[in-house]
Amino acid sequence: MSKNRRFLAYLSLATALFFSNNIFAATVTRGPYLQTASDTTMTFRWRTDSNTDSVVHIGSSPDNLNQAVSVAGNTTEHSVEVSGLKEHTQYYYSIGSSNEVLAGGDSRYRFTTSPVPGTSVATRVWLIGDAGTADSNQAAVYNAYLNYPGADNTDLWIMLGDNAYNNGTDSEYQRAVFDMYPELLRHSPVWATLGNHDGHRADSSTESGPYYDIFTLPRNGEAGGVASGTEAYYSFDYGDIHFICLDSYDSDRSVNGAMMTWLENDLSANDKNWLVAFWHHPPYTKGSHNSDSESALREMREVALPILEDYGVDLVLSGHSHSYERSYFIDSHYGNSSTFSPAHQIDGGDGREDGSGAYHKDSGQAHAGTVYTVAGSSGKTTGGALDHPAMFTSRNELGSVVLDIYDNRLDAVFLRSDGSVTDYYTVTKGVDTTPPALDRVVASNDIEVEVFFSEPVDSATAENPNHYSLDKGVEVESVSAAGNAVTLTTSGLSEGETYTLTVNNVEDVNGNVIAANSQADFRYSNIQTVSFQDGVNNYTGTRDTWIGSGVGDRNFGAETSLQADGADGGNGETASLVAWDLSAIPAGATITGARVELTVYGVSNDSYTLYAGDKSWSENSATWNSQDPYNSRGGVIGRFVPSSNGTHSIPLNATGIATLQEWVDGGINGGVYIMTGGGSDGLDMRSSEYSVISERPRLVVSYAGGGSSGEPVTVQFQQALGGYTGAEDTYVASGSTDRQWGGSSALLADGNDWGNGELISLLKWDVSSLPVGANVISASITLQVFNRSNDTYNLWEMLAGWSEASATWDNTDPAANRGAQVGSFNPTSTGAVTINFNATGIALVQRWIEGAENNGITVQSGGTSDGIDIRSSEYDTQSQRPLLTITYE
Amino acid sequence: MNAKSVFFATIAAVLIAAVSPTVFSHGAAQDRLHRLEHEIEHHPDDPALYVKRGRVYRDAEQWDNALNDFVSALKIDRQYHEARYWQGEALMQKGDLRGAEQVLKKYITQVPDSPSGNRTLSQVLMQLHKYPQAAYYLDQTIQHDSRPPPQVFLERARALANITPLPTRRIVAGLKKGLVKHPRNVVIINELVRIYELAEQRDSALAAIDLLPSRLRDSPKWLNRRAQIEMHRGHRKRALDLYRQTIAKIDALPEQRRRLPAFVHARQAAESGISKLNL
Repeated sequence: MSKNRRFLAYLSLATALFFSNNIFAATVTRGPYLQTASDTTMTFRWRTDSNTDSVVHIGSSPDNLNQAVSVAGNTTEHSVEVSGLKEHTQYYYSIGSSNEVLAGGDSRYRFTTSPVPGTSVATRVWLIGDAGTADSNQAAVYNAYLNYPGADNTDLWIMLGDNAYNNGTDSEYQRAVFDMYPELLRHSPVWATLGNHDGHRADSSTESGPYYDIFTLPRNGEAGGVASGTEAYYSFDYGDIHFICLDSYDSDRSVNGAMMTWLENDLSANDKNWLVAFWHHPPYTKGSHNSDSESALREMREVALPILEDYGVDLVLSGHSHSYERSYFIDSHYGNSSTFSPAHQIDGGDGREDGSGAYHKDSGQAHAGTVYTVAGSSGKTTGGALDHPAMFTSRNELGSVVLDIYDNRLDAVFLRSDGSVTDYYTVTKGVDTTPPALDRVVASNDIEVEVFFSEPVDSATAENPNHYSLDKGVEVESVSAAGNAVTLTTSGLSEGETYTLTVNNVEDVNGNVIAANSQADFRYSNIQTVSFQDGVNNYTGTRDTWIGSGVGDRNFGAETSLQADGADGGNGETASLVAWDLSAIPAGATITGARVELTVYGVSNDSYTLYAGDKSWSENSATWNSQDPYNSRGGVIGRFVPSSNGTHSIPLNATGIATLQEWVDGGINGGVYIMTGGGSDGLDMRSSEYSVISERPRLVVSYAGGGSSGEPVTVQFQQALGGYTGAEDTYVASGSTDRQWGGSSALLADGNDWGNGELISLLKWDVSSLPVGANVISASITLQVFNRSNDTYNLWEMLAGWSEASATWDNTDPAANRGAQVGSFNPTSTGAVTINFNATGIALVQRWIEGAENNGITVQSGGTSDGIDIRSSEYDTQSQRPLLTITYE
Repeated sequence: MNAKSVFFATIAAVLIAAVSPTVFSHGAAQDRLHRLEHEIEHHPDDPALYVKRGRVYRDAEQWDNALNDFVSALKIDRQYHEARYWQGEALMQKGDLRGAEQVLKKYITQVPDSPSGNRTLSQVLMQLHKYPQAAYYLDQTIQHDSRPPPQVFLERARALANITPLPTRRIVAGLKKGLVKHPRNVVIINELVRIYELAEQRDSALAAIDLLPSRLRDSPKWLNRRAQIEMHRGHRKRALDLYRQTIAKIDALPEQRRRLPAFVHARQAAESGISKLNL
């Protein structure tokens, strides 16, 4: 090569390098963000719009970034691990290439290494769940946190899954994470768990997809804990806190699977003071998801919780339901929500120092209480029943969770998107020096008083009758204690009388003695007893049937008998289901006692068990296969040996009373399962179809409170609400006079729907469970409109009888059988609309209660042909079905 | 297509492109289904939309609805392999194992190097008690997965462990392969020890325990395990020593930690072991 040619070649090369590094200088399009932080290492991630090598400069001040770490090779996805750092030390940094600094070098670009594992330092943790909407909701939650004291010094933050909707794609992550949280990403390490939406584009078994590409998570114990071998689940330490991340979506959840085997080993090697676990699918929720029925949620509860609680887990945080639900301080509840009872509450208080006191446990203590939190409302809220009994509070509010942990104290708050704090609690550890206090005292009946202490009490001191005294000559005859609840059996209490209870010498489980002469007043009043039996006082709310394993698909709801047997020939094992509609018991009532009465006509010497049913069912379709009773039965609520013919009265135990309370409070009323204790000496009973009313199944319930003291009572009737099955609805068409739409999930009304002519909806609710003497004050219906109209629609009394299964225009003739107008509305927007009944309507409801024929109402167009569509009682979402609300005295 | 049609088609395409990122709402499954239904109305021939909707149903455990959508996607495009994979997976979840096997085998002929396809097929075969076949597809999974997780090695070992006589060498070879990918991983070592114990190869079991990180190897749980193996080997003194180490380790823990069920049980096991050895 000649000199000239060599010169030209060098010139070309220099020109190319000049242009590649200057004219086409790279720009940071993502990050930087901090990953897999430990006490000595930090991983920096960022993305550029063109290929460069990767360089991080760090130092003790922004203008002294004197240490450089580089990774050779050009890429747009940069990952640089810096090691050899000093523990719990603040550093500043910049990122870029060997040619230029692309970002950093000022005070915004900083990080602090973790403390040495095991040392206690004040720690701030921010948690968000289901945040990835990339909209103003998400931004509001983030901004609320940025304005919350201490946000600037967030030590770490946790994403509880569904970080980027809808499918966890790279571009969705860009919008919902990197464009949303740039400030926090720069200076606080973020840890993540896989949500189902992230899982749409990610695969845990191959650790592939955007989620796994974006996050650098420890698989080899890089930040403490035992190596899991996968980024899908892992652990890490921050000072004296051990964090566990599990994959509830895409990894094997079985007890002998890799994840649970690793978990048990990781926990056995952990010695940190605090143990915090997180994953996406919550073990307890009644929000937009249901932990009773969804397998991932159920399996995490049944499999992971026993392991974690065996090692004293303090907090478990999840998302998935778009709500905030926070439990009491609970332990050892691995069943469905119906089996949750006060016995699972280590502390049934609010956990607040200015309330019933902070939750407390000794350091390292197992089964001493855990707070379970659903924090899935950091991007949107979608409601739900929000009534899981394990929860102290359940809120349909946008927000996030903030933890402050230092030494033996953990403070948690739920921070709403508007900056307000709507829940807070404290957990403390160490030696307990707090004495128990009287929390509340309730007279269950005329000889029983329930005493609730602020914490579990020592049974030896709590069960001594001499430690209690009552005024007005009432004697304490015996005492039984369980957890923080004590039951006093007393001599007779007088109706309407107020008593003072004095307590001495009762100790908590750590030997702290209650303050001398602790006192609380209570009143014995308002205990009412009601009974439910078909045919009595027009009551028609009993459902019952028997089912058999040998006739698994057959229903016997119409039979006049019930049976239960361990082996009944071709019928196989048989069991009976009985449920009563309890909507006549006023909202707010406290169930104090109950018994089931069954009339036996085929005796057995075996023991039979009554279980709470966990699954809804209907009388005319329940079968062994549909119910799968061994899997859908809840706790034992009573037992009896039906060795003689006649009526047997079976008192319900505490679980039974708690079950009834849940039904009254609106939970799923799965009724009672009557099953053999294992014998094959069968039992025959009368059903609610039996001709002799007095021999039909009867439920007797005693309750206190609610509206039974003359205050107004509000009851609601909606298909499946609290087990209610008395709603019927359909629509009919003048242009298709012989067609019926009883099975449709929609109700239509229209003045003229082309070929269908006029459409009229018919609705009715069975209100026979209301007391005959009730005086109706108001009534309304709530309809969920999903196709709106600008015109007026009217409600009319329906004069002719009809049934959902057969109603047609021909056999109902709703135009001719129209009674008085009871209300009207303008459904100008979609969503729920509540229509108050006018005076005529209220009088109509009053007549229904008093036994007049109840043909319900019609919804008719006021003449317009701009039709409306409404959800019917067949619609999947129970809360959107037509709802009748009645307030009476 | 005239110019006007092209103009409107272009506008429509732009609008769809603009709307598509937000077209699937961020809420409950019901909302997402409504949006997807709307999308499908507009694009009834797009198999990807049916697969998306099918996966929403799948997440809600509505297997029949999910299957209908995966089948719809395949009717539109028989080569839309993703739909076939999810069809097979949904059939497995629904309990139709024969159907799942058939569909997933077809999927594997089309996408032979799919780790997920091979793994899901192996899970179906495990449930059908076709253990050698299950192990074969797990081998395929491991071969095609650049980063197979510990669970896959576990599943392979458990598939083979159902075969009589126990193919110890094959199982061990697979687990050792797992240890190359995941050195000193407790899950794989745990399984390796279990298999060696099943095969009564106790020296090898002890050697496997030595592979554990020291914090685990010297923990009460694993000290006990070693003691039990030594006891079965007839090495009474070593077993006694290890049981005593277990108790000493537990006694050195803070009081509350000592009371953790795992350590209470470990201590009881060690005491019971010592009693037996002292008889």
